[in-house]
Amino acid sequence: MNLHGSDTLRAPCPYMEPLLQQTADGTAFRLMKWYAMFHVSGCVHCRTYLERLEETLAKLQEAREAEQVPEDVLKRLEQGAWRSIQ
Amino acid sequence: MSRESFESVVHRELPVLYRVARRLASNGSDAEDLVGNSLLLAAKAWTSFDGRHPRSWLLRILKNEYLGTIRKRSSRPEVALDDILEPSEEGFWQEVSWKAVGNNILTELDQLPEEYRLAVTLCDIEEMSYEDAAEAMEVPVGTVRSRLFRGRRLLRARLVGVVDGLEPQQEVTL
Repeated sequence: MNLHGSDTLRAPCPYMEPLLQQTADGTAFRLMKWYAMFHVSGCVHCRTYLERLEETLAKLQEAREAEQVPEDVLKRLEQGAWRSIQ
Repeated sequence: MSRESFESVVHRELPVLYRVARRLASNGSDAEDLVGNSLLLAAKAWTSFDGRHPRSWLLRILKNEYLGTIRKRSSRPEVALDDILEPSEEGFWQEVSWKAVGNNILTELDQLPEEYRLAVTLCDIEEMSYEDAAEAMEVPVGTVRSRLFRGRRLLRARLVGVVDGLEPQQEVTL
């Protein structure tokens, strides 16, 4: 079902975008999240938008896991000039 | 309750500081310098710090140190945030070839204007709350939200290759 009766994808419903963003990053509270999920169940535009956002955020997290902070850099910074102030 | 020592705060927050610095600075060496200089400033200010939200406090120092450095170095024209291209709607609907993007998602993130890059880095990579990010960025929570939301859209648009008008490390003024 599509609330908007169109198969052509377009931008998400303007009033929904902040809610979709917060649903994607997990900061939407219970009622907000419930409303967002209710809406996306009937709106293909918002559903696709939410899926795309969630996918992008998951990839950012993956990239963070893959990017190791070099041990030698951490050691140098731990022993840095700031210690002379302490 | 006794306050945590500066040394233990540094030990805990160093990876976060370096990762954020890496997103701000153009290379690993500059990022290391940025963190080193920021820690020096933080060590000097430690006795006057109230001890609340040390991560946000350290990141605020890091951000200000970064801004000071690029102001000194830069001769690039400044671009207002409003002049940054808005990604087309098309960008939301195209599939991203994740196989092709791989870990280059961070490289694409690095091409966003600094305000958006910082919001996405703090909230989506370091998983800080909007409130803590606002404290680090020294802007209201609503501003963090709008930068974050627009930054995510711009990033997505870059990933599908529909925004090519942003130059790397473009300096942005408010």
